[in-house]
Amino acid sequence: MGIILEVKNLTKKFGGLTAVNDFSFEIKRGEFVGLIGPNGAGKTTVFNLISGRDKPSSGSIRFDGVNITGLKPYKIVNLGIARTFQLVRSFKFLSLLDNISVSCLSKRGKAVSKKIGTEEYASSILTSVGLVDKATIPPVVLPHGDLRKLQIGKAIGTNPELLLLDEPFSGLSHEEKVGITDLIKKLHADGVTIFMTGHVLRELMTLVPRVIAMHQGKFIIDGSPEEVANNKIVLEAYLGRGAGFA
Amino acid sequence: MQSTKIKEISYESKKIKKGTIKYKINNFPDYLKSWVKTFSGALTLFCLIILIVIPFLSTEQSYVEFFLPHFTLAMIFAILAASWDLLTGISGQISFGQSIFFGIAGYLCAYLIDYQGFPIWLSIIIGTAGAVFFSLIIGIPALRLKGPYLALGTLVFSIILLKLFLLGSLSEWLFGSEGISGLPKMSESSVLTYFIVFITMIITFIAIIQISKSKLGTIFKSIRDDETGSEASGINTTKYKIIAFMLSGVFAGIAGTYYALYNTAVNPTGNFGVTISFFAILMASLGGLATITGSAMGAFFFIFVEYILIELGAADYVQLIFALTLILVVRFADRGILKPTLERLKDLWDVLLGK
Amino acid sequence: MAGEIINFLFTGTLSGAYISLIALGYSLVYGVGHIMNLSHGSFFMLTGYLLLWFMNFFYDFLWLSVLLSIVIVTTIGGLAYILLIKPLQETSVGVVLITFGLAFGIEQYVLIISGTDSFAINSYLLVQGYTEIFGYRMINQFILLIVTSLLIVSTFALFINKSKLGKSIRAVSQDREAATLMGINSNRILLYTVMISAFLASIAGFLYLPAAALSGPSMGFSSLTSAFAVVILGGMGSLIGSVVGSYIVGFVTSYTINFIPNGPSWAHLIPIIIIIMMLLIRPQGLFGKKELM
Repeated sequence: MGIILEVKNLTKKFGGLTAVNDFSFEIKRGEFVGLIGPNGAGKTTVFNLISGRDKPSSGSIRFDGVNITGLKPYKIVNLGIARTFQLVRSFKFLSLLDNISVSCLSKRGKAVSKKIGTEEYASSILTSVGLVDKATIPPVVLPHGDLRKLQIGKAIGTNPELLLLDEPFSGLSHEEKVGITDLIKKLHADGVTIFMTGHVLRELMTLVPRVIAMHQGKFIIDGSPEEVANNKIVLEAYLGRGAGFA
Repeated sequence: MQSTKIKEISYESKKIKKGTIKYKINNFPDYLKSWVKTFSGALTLFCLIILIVIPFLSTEQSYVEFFLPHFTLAMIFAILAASWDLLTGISGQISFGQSIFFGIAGYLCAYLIDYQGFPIWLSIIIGTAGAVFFSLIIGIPALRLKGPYLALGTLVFSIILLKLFLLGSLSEWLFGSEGISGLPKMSESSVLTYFIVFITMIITFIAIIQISKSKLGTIFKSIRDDETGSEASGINTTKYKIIAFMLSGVFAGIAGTYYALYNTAVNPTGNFGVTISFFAILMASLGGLATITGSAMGAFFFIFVEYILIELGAADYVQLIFALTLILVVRFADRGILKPTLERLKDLWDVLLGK
Repeated sequence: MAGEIINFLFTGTLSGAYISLIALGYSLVYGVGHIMNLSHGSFFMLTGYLLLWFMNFFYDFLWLSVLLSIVIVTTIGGLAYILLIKPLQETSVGVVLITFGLAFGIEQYVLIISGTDSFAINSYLLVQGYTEIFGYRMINQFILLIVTSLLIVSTFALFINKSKLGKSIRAVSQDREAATLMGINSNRILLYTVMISAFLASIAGFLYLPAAALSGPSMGFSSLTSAFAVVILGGMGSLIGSVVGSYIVGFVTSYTINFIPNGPSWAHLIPIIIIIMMLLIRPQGLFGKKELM
């Protein structure tokens, strides 16, 4: 099916700090890949660089063969990459339905909305994330788990081919985690390529067949969960940080 | 990949939705009846009826020449305030530059009428278009500023524009500190003027409210609530911010041309002064940010209070008092005073109707 | 020709000197607390008018008038923070609107009392007369202003880097939460920062206006305009940028007045030209970080 995301020698410096250092990897269409590393490893920065929120200091990013390095975020979204944020964000004063509608009004989203109507598209997404009964409520009153679902819903609205999920389980109860896991699995089954970060290994290891590990901005290893969990450098990076792993 | 999803969704909802204009027009008599029964519907209708009746309450000259034009002025300011509310309240672009659109439209209109002999209505249209065009020129560098920077930036642009028309030898080319005077009135009859402005105000409010409720409005609000999130949802926020500026410019420009004709003159301080931007902000904030209709309430409230203060002999203190009012409103009543008061009245109404 | 060159250098330095005191305070408050204080220019302007109003009161004890004026303006800054700014800190819209209201209110107050006329307050000159060099006369007060301004800026740089309060201010500007966790009362630091900025603007007024005359309450928003051009040029939140930017703005304006035909008639447009150019070319300013925008 081909390579959907190709990252080469990606580097990002903030003043004296190198947050991402010569990072390279490839993801094939339809894969389900995890990106792990302790807090501060640079995972979110990698996502920010891919999604266009930050410009790399050097290196290149290609999506489906197209060079997207340094493009504006909305253009990258409309090429087919959507993301969620580690710190949940929402349109505070809009209803849930309207929150989703915004993505449905993006260029890619409109391609779908034109056929079935924006409200219907947004409703169907709300249904698929299990929030449709709260459609008219603003996000302020929602519990954390619902807000994470809302974020994923907003990403789905842009009809993405690659979905970047930044710490989607952070702050969730066990039940909420199950809900999100099912949602992500279903999206993957529908054909969306999923690239997910996490710093708690147990959750990721059972979910994804392939894991890329990073530490202090640098690439460590890329392999199956077993390979990664037994890698010496990965173990050293996590030792003493108290993050549990199988 | 999405085709399976689409097939699962029912096509039933192609039926005409309740809120749309199509529905309203198709079912006009019933819709009107149910609208009037709501508190906001009844109140709006009540206000509209009063406004329609006001010009006919007296034919005394003092009333027609003095009192009535005050209401006309209130409606001109209502349009200006609503233009600001669209930009700041709905789209989240904090602007202190309504005086830019207001002044440019007014000056251009005045110039065309006085120096080029253009007919009034053509001048109004070209004046407004000029303001919108200028907003595009300013908007492109200005929109690199976000939030508070944009606020200061628009304030600074408006002050520099004022200075351009007021000081230095460049201002000689722009009619200097006296500006242009001797403009005709919109109409010899102040009653007719009143109605022209009234209808413009109604159209403005309907237009802005419909924009606010539409998909475009949803996009504007998304930029206001979370610009990064909006961009991450695939929205070209720069394009929509420019659209918001231009729409705001249209209505502020219309208000500016009407103001020029109301005063039969334009001059730098009167049309480009910070006071104009201040009025827009004060009136919209009094009524309630992002409510749109609050702008009309704020404008009438302002004209009314100003009149009383002048009658009490405190004409010099008017702007100072209103500056304090803005401070108090922003500090203690960020949803405005007038709308929440109306909501209390609405609760009373519900109680009276036995709900 | 020599006269024009000296004029260019002198007026450029002079403008840079007093604008840097105003812009420094403005940039400081924003850098530390993300507060866009639109009433900052009115601190400068109000000082001038307080000096004017007290002049007849304290004619034998003018130093008392100076003290009182500076104290009043600094106090207004502090009160503005406590009563108006702090409660609205969550929303940037609120802070900007309320400080605008304050600026407008102060302008109106001054307008009511003194109108739009110009006034001279040369009783407050610390040094009289002028120094002549190559036939060009430099007003001594302005020489004092330049020297004092450079002294103040250097002292301020030392203060912010070495003193305990200065370090606390820098801590709060980098990360307010972390600073609080380290035991710093961030709220009090912000209060002091706003008061320091008001104090600096007030000093600028005290040193500059007795020689330059009061030109109307619009001086408030005018000085804010210059401050904005400076921070866009220098980079918002960058203290070096504010100082360097001030001198650049001063010299560009002075160059325009002296060497460009018809210069004086559009020198007041320099700030906006600088602003537009910087926004198009390098929005983060010479010393600013991109993230600040």
